[in-house]
Amino acid sequence: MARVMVLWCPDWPVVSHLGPDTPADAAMAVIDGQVVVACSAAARKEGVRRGMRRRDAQARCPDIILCAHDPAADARAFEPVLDLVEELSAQVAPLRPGLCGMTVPARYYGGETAAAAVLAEQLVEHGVWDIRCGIADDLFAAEQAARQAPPQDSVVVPPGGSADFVRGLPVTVLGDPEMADLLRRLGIRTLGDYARLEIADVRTRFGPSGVLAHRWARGEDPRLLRRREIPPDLIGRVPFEPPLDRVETIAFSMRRAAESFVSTLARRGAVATAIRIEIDSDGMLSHARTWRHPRWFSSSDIVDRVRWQAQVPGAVTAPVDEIRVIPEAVEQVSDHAESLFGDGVDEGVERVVARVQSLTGPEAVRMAGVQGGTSPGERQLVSTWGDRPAEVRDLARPWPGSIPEPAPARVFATPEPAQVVGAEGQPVVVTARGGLTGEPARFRLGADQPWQPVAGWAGPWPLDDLWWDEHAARRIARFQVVGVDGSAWLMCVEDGRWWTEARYD
Amino acid sequence: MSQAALIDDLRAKMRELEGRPQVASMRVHPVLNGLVDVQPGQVYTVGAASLAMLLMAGPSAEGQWSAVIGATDFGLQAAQAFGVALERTVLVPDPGADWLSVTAALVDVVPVVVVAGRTMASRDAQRIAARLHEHQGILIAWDTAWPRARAHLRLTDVQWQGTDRGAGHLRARRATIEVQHTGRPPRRRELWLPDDHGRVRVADEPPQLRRVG
Repeated sequence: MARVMVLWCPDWPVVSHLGPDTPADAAMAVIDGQVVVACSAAARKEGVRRGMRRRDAQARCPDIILCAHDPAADARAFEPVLDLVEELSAQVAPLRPGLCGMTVPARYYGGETAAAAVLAEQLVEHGVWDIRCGIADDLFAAEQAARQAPPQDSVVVPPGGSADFVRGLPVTVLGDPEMADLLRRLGIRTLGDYARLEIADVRTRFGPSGVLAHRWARGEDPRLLRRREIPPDLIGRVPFEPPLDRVETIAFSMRRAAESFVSTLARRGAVATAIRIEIDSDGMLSHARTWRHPRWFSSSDIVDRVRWQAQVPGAVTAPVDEIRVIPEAVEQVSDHAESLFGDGVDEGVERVVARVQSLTGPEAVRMAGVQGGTSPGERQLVSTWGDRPAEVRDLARPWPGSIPEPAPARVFATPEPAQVVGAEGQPVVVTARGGLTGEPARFRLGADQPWQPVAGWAGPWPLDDLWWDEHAARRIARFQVVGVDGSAWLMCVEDGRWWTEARYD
Repeated sequence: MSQAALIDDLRAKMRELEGRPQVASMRVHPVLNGLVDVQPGQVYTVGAASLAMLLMAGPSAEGQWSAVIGATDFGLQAAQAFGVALERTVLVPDPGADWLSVTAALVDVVPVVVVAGRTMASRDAQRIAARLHEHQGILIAWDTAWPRARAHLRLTDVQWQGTDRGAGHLRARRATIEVQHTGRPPRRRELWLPDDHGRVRVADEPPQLRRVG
């Protein structure tokens, strides 16, 4: 059985921002919105942590350098590292920026530890000094081993020892805070405890992702290493001679290629769960995009994706002379067997969604969810059907300044203008201290609507971190306003202008 | 036998003659029990988003799929609180010009379909109703007039509690739900939507006490 090695560069979002003139021991943090997503070792020493708010980080470490989070730039910066690794190991699978896996080239370098040392040396020579290796039977255990390794060193989990190795780890390493919190409350603190649960119970309570995590805890990660280099015989190549310019003709000509793409994979006992479609026109790549599927791609799914992609405005400007379908994520059919009989999306629903997507375009059909945030609008989690949402804010985290429940039944996609005045008809605005200049007495929704007396109101909930700052330019806060007709609204006031954000309908 | 019961009885006999299987009512949220009988193949119009969610909650809790078409402002957290399983909900916020085909396609497969903010031409309504009848789903028309809907649900005497001139926050809502079945007198019931603890319950029911000691 092939052993897996994982290379981990800690704090990659910070490392990728290090310029040639930045000292390596600078206190740096990368923030997304107002929240720290990664920080350097120097910043950590000062007490800065992931998930901390920007102003707290600045309070603890006043000379901290802040950079905005840019996942795409992180990925680009990781490419040269992958190239370096590739010089020594043929099969490198990028897992995410800062983390990659490969099968261990042990025999060649005389042992697993030696192979890890050779790789680390190669990277350190080229300026990536904090690099850690983990080696195990499966991907999950190898990643956890890498996280325990000291800089420029490795931790090796012996063959067959994955389950023993992960047994003592806390459930938080599964990377699902919501599930970890629930498990903790159930008294399940380590992966060993979790592995002892019945698989059937796990499936009913946590669904497919819980089942996957259960397999990790048992030391059998079913995920395959997704190689950067894809065997050429798996790529579906469809040359068009002469070049085609009509979407329907292209889609029609794709049919057989899509079928053979799926059956080639099927002969290896595999299915594609993510594919990349590249469209060439005039001998050049004109459009490329990765598509994911909640289950796996059938041949008609692939034809649909090609059609949608060809219809993207500006994607195809000249007749198309080649289309390539590249499997980006391939999984063994047997790995899906557990979910085949359990959850998974209803097949009829999947088909009707595909039909609706072909009518309206893929982005028109959305999946619903809830995520963390201070306002109802931030808590709406809407993502294109079949795509996994890129980043989901944790709902379980405390969100200071958030509007208390119950949640409003209508959340407007764009706030609508409103007017709120005091008893004498004077405008009501927010003061520098976050209070109101007067008590709201009447309101109307838009200039053409009738005025209505205010029956009750509550607030303010500050919207900005700097709302108390008298010099801050923005004075913005949220209020709940109830009319005498029983309608209740969530309103927001900024610079004396009122907006309705949601309705407690 | 009351007139309404007689009509229901005759309808059942008609269905038997037509050879269709007896349709069982769909499950409804417990607070709607005896207030509205949700029958497969029918259209229900609602005057508030929370009523659409309340109607979705019953079938959704049973594992059914639902779809919401044409609503860009469907409050997802509220829907979840009402008992709608979001993982089994399909959203088509902006179906554009194709909304009729989109609705028809979804009605064929998804048992609970919500359509929001439309003016229905009577011909289109008939086309959808025919498919709905065939596939035994229900359609909830929110903020949408629908010819020959089976019942109309609306909220009256809405009272929000919890705000006190700037202090506090919205906590609970007491409201009367009025259900108007075609050709019958309206039925009313007072509800907490929700109560202080975020639960939806009938207002005159005393809170359940647990015996201790």
